[in-house]
Amino acid sequence: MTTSIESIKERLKDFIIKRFLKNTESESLNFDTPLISGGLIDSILTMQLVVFIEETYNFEFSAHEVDRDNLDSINIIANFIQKKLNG
Amino acid sequence: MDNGEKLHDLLKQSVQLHSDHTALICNDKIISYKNLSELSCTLQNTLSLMGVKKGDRVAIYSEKSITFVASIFGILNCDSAYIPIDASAPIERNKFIINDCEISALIIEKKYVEYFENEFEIHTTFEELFILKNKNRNLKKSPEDLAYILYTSGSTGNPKGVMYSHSGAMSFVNWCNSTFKLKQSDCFSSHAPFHFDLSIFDVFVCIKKSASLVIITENVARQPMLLSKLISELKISVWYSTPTILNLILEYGKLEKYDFSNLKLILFAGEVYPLHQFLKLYNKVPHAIYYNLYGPTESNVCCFYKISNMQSLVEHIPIGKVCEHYISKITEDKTEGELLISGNALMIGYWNMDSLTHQKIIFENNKKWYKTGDIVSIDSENNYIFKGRVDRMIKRNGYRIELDEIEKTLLKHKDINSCALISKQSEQNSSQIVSFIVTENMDLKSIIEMKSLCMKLLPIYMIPDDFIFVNSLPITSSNKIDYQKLINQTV
Repeated sequence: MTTSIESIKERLKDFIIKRFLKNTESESLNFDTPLISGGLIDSILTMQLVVFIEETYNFEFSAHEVDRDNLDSINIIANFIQKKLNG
Repeated sequence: MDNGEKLHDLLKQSVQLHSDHTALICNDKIISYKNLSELSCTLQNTLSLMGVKKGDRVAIYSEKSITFVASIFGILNCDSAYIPIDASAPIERNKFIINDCEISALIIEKKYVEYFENEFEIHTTFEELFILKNKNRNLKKSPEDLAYILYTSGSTGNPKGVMYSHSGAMSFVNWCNSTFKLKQSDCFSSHAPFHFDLSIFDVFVCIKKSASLVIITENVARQPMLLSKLISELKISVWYSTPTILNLILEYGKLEKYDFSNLKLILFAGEVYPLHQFLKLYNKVPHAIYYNLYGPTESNVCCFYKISNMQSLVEHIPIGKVCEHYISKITEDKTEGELLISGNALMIGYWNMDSLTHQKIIFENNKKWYKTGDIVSIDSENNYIFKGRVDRMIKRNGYRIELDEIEKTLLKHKDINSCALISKQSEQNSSQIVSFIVTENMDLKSIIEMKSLCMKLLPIYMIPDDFIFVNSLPITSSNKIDYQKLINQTV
C-alpha cells in the first residue's frame, strides 16, 4: 500500500464523495473544503470517517484525537494520518 | 404538592447537609457544594446591585461550565428566571431570542459581547464571563413563579420560548426523586445542553440528592470515545441522554476498553429508540436499569416506561404510562389519537405568544390540557405507544425541529426562490431531512455550498442531510406544495 500524502488525500476524497456526497460534486470538493465546520459531516458521519481511516491505515485514534483539529479538511486529515504512520 | 419550594432551595438544602461534597466536575475543575453556593451568592449580589429583581429575566450565553451552573442559581436566587442560550447556534437566531425575551441582564462569553453592544452595556465580570446590563429598563414583568424559559423550534420561522414555573419544575424533580432509586453517592451525567429540557433532571435532581454532577462540555458531548472514558474514569452511575447519543457510544465508543460497571441507571428521552438498537446496548450493559422517558418541553417528562422484561418487548419500546403528577387522555376514539396531558407541572405558556398558548392549552372539565401533537395508541398492558405527529414537527437526534422553521429561514436567502422540506427514516431508523431547493444561482446548486450556508443560518441539528435541486416544486390542486409527492420521489 502506498502511503504518500497525495495518495492519502485522493483516497479520502474518494471516500467522502462516495459516502457523503452521493457520488456528485467531485469538482466542488477540494482538499481545503471544511468538513465539520462547513456543516458537511455531523458527529455520526465523522465517526464513519474515523472508522474508515482506522481500517484503511491500520492504526487507532486515541479518544482525544477524534477532534475537529485533526479532521476538518482532507489536507488536515492527511497530515494527521501521515504523522501517525510515521509514529 | 406545591409547598412553595423553589429550585434554588435545593442547593441551599444540600449545602446544609453536605457542604464539602463535590457538587460539579467539569473537565479538570471540581467544585464543592459550599463553593458552588458561595459563587452563586456572589453573582446574586452583583445582579441585585445592578438592579435585577423579582420578575426579571437573565440570559446565559456561554458554553457549559461550572460558572454556567453557578449563574443559574445566582439568577434564581434573585427571584429572576434564567434563559439558557445555545452558544453553538448562529448569532442571528440568538439575537432574536435575546431580543424576544426582554432580559434585564446578559451573562455572556467575551467573544460574543460585541454583538450586543448596541442594546447592552458592559457592567462587570463574573469569573470568566461578562455581565451586560440592558440599556432599556422598560421591560415586561415575568408571570408569577417563572423559573426558566427554554426556546425550541417554532413553526413561524422563529424559535418560541416555553415558560416554566418553579412549582412545575419542582413537581417533576420530586417525581424523579420518588421514582428512581437515587443516592447521595451517585455520580450524574450532564450530557444535554442547558437549553434542552433533559438538563432539568441533570442539574436539579442531582443537586436535590446532594450528589455529584459531571458537566459534559460541547466539545466532548459528541465524541463517543471521550464519553466512554468519562463514564469509566469518573464512575458515572446515572446517565440521561437521547438514544442517538447512547447509540453513538455503543457503535463507536470502544466499550470493551472501558469500565461501565458503575452505570446503574440509564434514562433516555427525546426520540424513539428503535428496539433492535436498544437491545444491542442492553446486551453490552445488562446490569443497568433502563427507563424510556417521554414528554415534550411543554410538560417535561409526563409518561415513563421501565424496561424490565425484555421478552415482552416486540417491535417497539412503549412510552408507557402517565407519571403520577399528571393525568392523560386520548382524543377521538379511545384507542388511537392525540395525547393530551393535564397537571400542575405543565408549562405556564409560551412567552409573548398568547394565541399559540391558547391553541395548545385547552380547557375541558375545568382542567387545563396540553395538546402534545403526538399520536399514540394503547397496547394490551395499557401502555402508550408513540405513533407519529399531527403536524410537521420532527425529532432528530433528540431535538425537535419544525420543518417550517428551516423552510422559512432558507427562504430569507435572496437566491432561493422556493424550497420544501420533508423527513424520511434512514436505514438506521433515524430521521433524515431532505430539502428540495429551487434556485437559479449555479453556485448554490451544491450540497457543500448549501450545507455551508445552513451553518450560518441554523443550529447544526437543523441542517438538512440532503439537498435536491429542482426547477419547480409540485403543487396540489389547492395550490399548496405537494409534500406527499416529494416524499414519494425520495423513496
